[in-house]
This record gives sequence, structure tokens and C-alpha cells, in this order.
Amino acid sequence: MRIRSGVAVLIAAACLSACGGGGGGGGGGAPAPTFAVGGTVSGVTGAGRVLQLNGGANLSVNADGSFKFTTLLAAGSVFGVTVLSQPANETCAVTNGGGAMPAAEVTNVGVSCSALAGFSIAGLTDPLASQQWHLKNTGQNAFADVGGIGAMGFDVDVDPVFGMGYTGAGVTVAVVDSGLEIAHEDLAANVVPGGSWNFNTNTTDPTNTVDTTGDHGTSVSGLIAMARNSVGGIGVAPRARLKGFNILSVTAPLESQFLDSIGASSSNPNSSDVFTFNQSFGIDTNTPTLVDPQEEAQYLAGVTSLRGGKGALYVKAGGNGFDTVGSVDCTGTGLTCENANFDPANTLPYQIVVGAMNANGIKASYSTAGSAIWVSAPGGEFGENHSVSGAAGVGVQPAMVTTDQSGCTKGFSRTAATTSSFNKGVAPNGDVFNPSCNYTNGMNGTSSATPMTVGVIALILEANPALTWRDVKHILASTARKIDPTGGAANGPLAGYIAEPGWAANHASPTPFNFHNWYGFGLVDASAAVNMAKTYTLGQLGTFTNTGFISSGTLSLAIPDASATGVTSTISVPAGTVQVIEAVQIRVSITHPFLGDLGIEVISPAGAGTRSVVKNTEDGYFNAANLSNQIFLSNAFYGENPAGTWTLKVVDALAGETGTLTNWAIRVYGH
Amino acid sequence: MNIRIAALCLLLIAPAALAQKYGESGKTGAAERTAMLKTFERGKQMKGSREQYQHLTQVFAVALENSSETAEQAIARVGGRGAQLVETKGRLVLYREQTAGLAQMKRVGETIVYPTAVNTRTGILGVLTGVLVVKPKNMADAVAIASSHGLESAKAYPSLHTVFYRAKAGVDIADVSAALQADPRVESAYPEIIEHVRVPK
Repeated sequence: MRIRSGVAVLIAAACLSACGGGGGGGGGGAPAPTFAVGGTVSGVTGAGRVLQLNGGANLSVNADGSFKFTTLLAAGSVFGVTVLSQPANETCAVTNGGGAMPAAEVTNVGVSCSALAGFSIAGLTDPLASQQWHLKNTGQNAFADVGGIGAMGFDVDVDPVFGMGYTGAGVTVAVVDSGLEIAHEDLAANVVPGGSWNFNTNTTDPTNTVDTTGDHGTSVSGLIAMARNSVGGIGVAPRARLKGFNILSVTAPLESQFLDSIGASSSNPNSSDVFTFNQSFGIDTNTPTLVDPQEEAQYLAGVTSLRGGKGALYVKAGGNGFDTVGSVDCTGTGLTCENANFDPANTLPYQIVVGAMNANGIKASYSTAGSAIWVSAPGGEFGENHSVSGAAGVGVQPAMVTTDQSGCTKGFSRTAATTSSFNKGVAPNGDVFNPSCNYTNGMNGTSSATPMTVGVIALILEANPALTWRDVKHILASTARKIDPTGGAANGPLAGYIAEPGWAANHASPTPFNFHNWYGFGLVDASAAVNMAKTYTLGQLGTFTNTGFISSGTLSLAIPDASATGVTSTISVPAGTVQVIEAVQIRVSITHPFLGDLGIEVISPAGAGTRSVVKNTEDGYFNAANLSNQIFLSNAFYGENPAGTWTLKVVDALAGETGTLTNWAIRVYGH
Repeated sequence: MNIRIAALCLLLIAPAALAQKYGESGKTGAAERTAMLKTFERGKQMKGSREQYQHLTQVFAVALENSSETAEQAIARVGGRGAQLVETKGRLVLYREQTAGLAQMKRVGETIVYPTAVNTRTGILGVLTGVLVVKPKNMADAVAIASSHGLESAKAYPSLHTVFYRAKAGVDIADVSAALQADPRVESAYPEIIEHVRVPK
């Protein structure tokens, strides 16, 4: 169960019959573990690397040649070979490293090692790399009208990591998206052969033939893993291995297809060997929505079982709804319209939810805020040219330079494009950087910030393959940079009530974490993260557990109308189960005809109390009515001790309709 | 009545045009939407994964064939005479017909026409995919359960202790869902309903 968990098995009725057996629930007919897993190692630079099978069996390999784990596995079970550790000056990539166990010995696992060879962005021959401000921000304009202002260095700080020779080699990334042009000139070298899946055609080629005005997934993929060569730009992890699952292009997407895309399937597609999943998507909703139980279960299975039990990394876009969401326009309030908590998948502690910053080193104009955000990364603005599109303001500030559908008849860049000269395949000064329209300078969104983070995670996992999913989250939070130190705080409509607190240090001991609903713990810093990963002490986070939901019981607390005082309720979290917080979920039930009136905040017992606004006033819920067991997640309490009295406060900021707090509960995740 | 339905259609498919801005009188929109939803003829109740739903007997859904096809063209393709566009969800087009139907999948030529339902708590419309999500008490009963209820082509996730079945054409999804929920071999069962479609963010 533990090894097989997370794996979907395709069973037609006939197979169901074969599997049925008739045993009494104990799985008595399970095949015996009789087959070994092995392969070949090449390119080793010396002693000191350890391979691992299914997160449990370790095998030291000190020379080139064949290897075989002594642990035997049963046919039909799942195997996964990873590099547990390697010498500091070496990188190893695994091929054929996982999948369903055949009824025979596995002999074709390849472990290809090589000495790390550093390089710099300035020395690259990729012609577009110098305009990729997100990698090294020098104030360049990325083919937009204006460049970043006073923003030198506001990037993911990857140049020093490239200098160490890390490139994401050996790390498999899945782009769960609209497609992946597997033959693209700047991606093909990193695409896992036969590793992708097209749910529309049931083939391994997810090249998007449906959309002719841009394939979102192909552009996302480039930000992660454009190859280091002499064409295009370069990805954050230019040797990471790419898989594409085109769930966003499916006309009537089935839940099973989504599960298959996030780790639940070992064949057609095989998502079970993925290290980190890029989820540059979300749902648009103005109405409180509950998480799908199967999705929640699969995310849990993914962090529990994948990557040999160390857990896959699920990275997800926070959203692009700061000003508007659905039919609601919140422009001018200074508060986020869409809250990152609106998408119920973002309220799971297994996710890394990402916000976006622009080339000026501040929040991108559209980036959704909320306490579920973990970190931020470059997402850019719109990258247009006024002379082409008529745009101004953020419209002509840098977006992201990345891959696009090939050719000038389709894609974001095409002859008929009306956004920028670059996207039209021409340039006004005669320097044609995009003559074949294979790249775009207009990619943006938290859709872009997400792959930036995925790329950094690939670098982290290359530097230290033994890290668990929680270790990686911890490293990202611990090394993220505080940007825009005074931005974001907003009072909202109520005198005496701070609707959005901006940056605040929590009461984690010994080192507080700074948190901001716009940025999470801050801007991802690849260099700091990789350096921390290299010297990271494994096991320091202990065992992941949670308190279960602790409920207030039934309440009937009127929420004062247009009052900063609001209504409060407390719950005591006992000491013991969780001593260090990793995430907090709040479950709330409120009757109120216009939820946009309400602000909801949670105050922890640690120190003087950390305040986290999990839902701000004047948001996109607007005229939706009532919260019924709605879940909100806050990362603001990371590292604190949860024991003590927690306070929930609800304010009604707009005069008129009134409501009642009827129940709330708290669940603390941590160790 | 037609005017009110048209108003709902506008509300649902052209949100930008009717953006509700703070400080304006947008709160009336909620009441209007609720009123419009009441004009949809409702059928059987269905228990979903975490919500309650009710079949909308006159509202159906069809998928766009490609990115250049319009919603109106998709409706015409399945012969929706006199049909009114209600809303779109990603590539799914929801429309209302004069004639009521059961909660079952049907084919018009090569095209699948999906039944729909409304979330009775939130008023959000959903598309029934024809898939039933079942947690058997014992996974070994998966085949027998399928056989008993006329279901086909399953995909099982042992680690999630869940089987996805597909209802055959002509099977009323509300009925089979209720029957599954009453089956002593079944721990839980519900019809798969697409309320929200994932979009690039």
C-alpha cells in the first residue's frame, strides 16, 4: 500500500474481473516481490554517491558500470530510482528511473553523471538570454518600451547557481497545462521521450493543435527549461527534464484525467516519476467553493509517495485577479479582488502557491494576494510596444521572454500579432530577434511566476536530491527575499481597521518569518536556496502531522455592521500534537447575504499574537451569500508554536446587510 | 420571462460588460441571478461529493469543437432549435432548450450532449460528465458493482480507494447515483460534475 499508493491502475472491466479475486479485503492475492531493479552508471567523478530505490533501499555506487538493488519488487508494483546524494562537484541524471514494475528484472535504469561545469548568463550564446530580466535584472526592457526602474538585481538570483554548475539535470518536471510543443527548437533537448501525454488523442505528443493564438503550456515550459544552446533564451533549469500533460486543452476535462496528471498514474501517462508539478492554472470563481475530495487525496498521496517517498513538489499559480475576478471589479479599493484562498486547491498545505512580481521589483499589477501565497517570483507585466498596440503604463513594461508555438502563422508571436514588434517577428531598429516567431516577449501572470519557482526547485533538488517536499518548502521560505518593504498595507473602508496589513514578522522562534499576503515569504532566491540545500540537515522538520479540526461548536454571534470592532471567537489548541506550525487551515461558517462586506482574520497565540487576514473586505465574493464550512489557509504562522488560544475576528465593513458567525474550526499542520 | 432569461444570459456570458464595482449598485445582481435561476425547470436531486445538486431538465451542455467555433455554432451543431445560450465553462457551452430531458448522456451524431445540474447552495451550474465516482467498501467488488448498475469502462485508483465508472448512454445519472449510494457494497458515490474549469492563471 505504501509503495503502490499514488499509482493509478487502468482497469477495464476485464481487468477489474482479474483483480477482483474475491478475497476479503486483505489483498491476499498480491504477487510476491521477486524482481530486482538495476541499470548502468556512467561518468562518475569519484566516490560518494548513493542511489535510492523507492525511498528506502540505498546503494552506494563509486565507479562506472552496472548496479542492482538487493531489494526485490513485485510485478505491477511501482519502482522509483533517485540519486540520494552525490559529490558536491558532480551532477547525476536518472533515465528510465521509474514506472510500473514488469514481470521481469529491470536492467535499463541509466544514471549519467558528470562534473559540474559553471557558466554565467553574460557568457551565454543564447541570443535572447540578455533580455530575460527574470534571470538577471539589469533594467533591460525585454523588447517592451521601458525597462525595470531601479530594479537591478530583482530577479531569481540564478546566475551564481549557474556558476556552480547546477542546471536542474536529472530532475523531471511536469507542465500540467494546455500542451507542450515537444519538437520546439529550444525545448526538444529536454523533453522526456514518450513521457508526455495528450488527453485528446491518447498519444505521447501534447503539441497543441487546437489553439492557434498561443500555447500557454509551451511558454510555461520555456521558462523552466529552455536549453542552453545558441537559439532563443534559457530556462531557470536549462537541463531539467520536461513532461507535458495537456489537461487544460481537454474539452470536457474529467477528474480522472486531472488525477492522472498530478501523479496518480504510472502509465499513459506516467506522472508517477515526476519530481515537481507546474500548475499554472486555477479556477475563476466569485462563489465559495469546496475542494474536491479526490484531488485532496491525490495531492496528499503525491507528497507521501512520489519521489521515492520524499514527496513531489506541487507548485501552483496564485491567480491574476488583484483588480477583477469574474464579474466583480475591485479597482481602487487597494485590496485584492480575487483572494488566493478562493481556489480551494490553494488551501491545501501540499501546495506551493506563487505570487508574481514585475521587473520593477514590486507586485505585478494583476497578482492575486492572500494568506495562501508561499513565495513570489517574476511574472512580469505585458511587454507591449505602444507603437504596435497603443498600450501604456504596465502594458509596455517588461513581460517574460520565453518559447512560443513555432512559426509565424500561430502563437502569441505571429505576423498578425498586435502586441509588440518582437511578437510580430520584426524589430523597429533592424535587429530582428524573433524572425521565426518561435519566442514571445509577452508571457506573464502567476502562470510565469510558477515555472520560475519550479525551475528553482529543480536546481534545489539537483543540489540535494535527498530533500523532502517539506524541506524544499522550508528552504524556499527561509531564503526568500523581502521586497517592496512598505508596499501593500491598506486600510480599507473602515476607520480603525487595517484591511491588509502588509509585511509583518511572525513569532517563530528563534527566527521570525516575514510574511505578506502579496508576496508570501518573499521573492524566491535561487542562490540562497541552493546554498542552503547543499548544507541542509535532513530530518530537522520531524514528522508531518496535524491537529485535526478543532471546532468552536455552534455559535450565533452577530457581526456588527460597519464596525471595526467586529465579532471575535476563540479556540484553544492544546500543546503537543504540533509544536511547530507549517500551515494553518481555518474552516468558517457565516450567514451573510453579501460576503464582500466581510473581512476575516486569525490571531495566533504566539508572542504578542500574529495577525493574518485570510479574507479581506471588498473582495470578489462581493454578492455571494454565506460561507458553509469554507476553508482558508494561512502560511503567516510558519514556525510558530500553535499551543494556546487562537482568535477569529470577523468584521462587516460596509453598512447595510448583516450576518452571523455560526461556527469555525482550526486545523494546524506541522511537526 | 424571456426578458429575464436574456438578462441572466447577459449576466453569465458577458460579465465584463456588467462588471459590478464596489460603490455601485451591483448588489442587485445577486437577487436578479437568483430570480433567473428559479425559472430553470428542476428535476431530481443529486448528492455530490460535498454539495447537493438538482438536475436542470432543460439545460444541456456541448463542447466547442475547436477554438474558432462559436457557442452559437456549437449549439446549432447539436440541433438545439430555439435554444438559448446560458453560459460557457471553458470549452463547454451550456444552453437551454424548450424540451426537457433526463439526466443522461446522449449523442447527436459524433457529439456528446451533457446534462446539467445546479449547486443548490451556491447556484452555480455544473455539467454532468457521465462519470460516477465510487468508493467501494472493498475494491474487489468493483466489477460486480459495475455489472449491477449497468456501468462501463472504469478506471480504478487503489491508493485513493476509488473507482471511476462511466454511465452508459440512456442511463439516468441521478437514478444510478442514488442506486449506488444505496448499495450496501458502496461506501460513497456521487456523479462527477464540472462546476469550474481550470484556466491558465
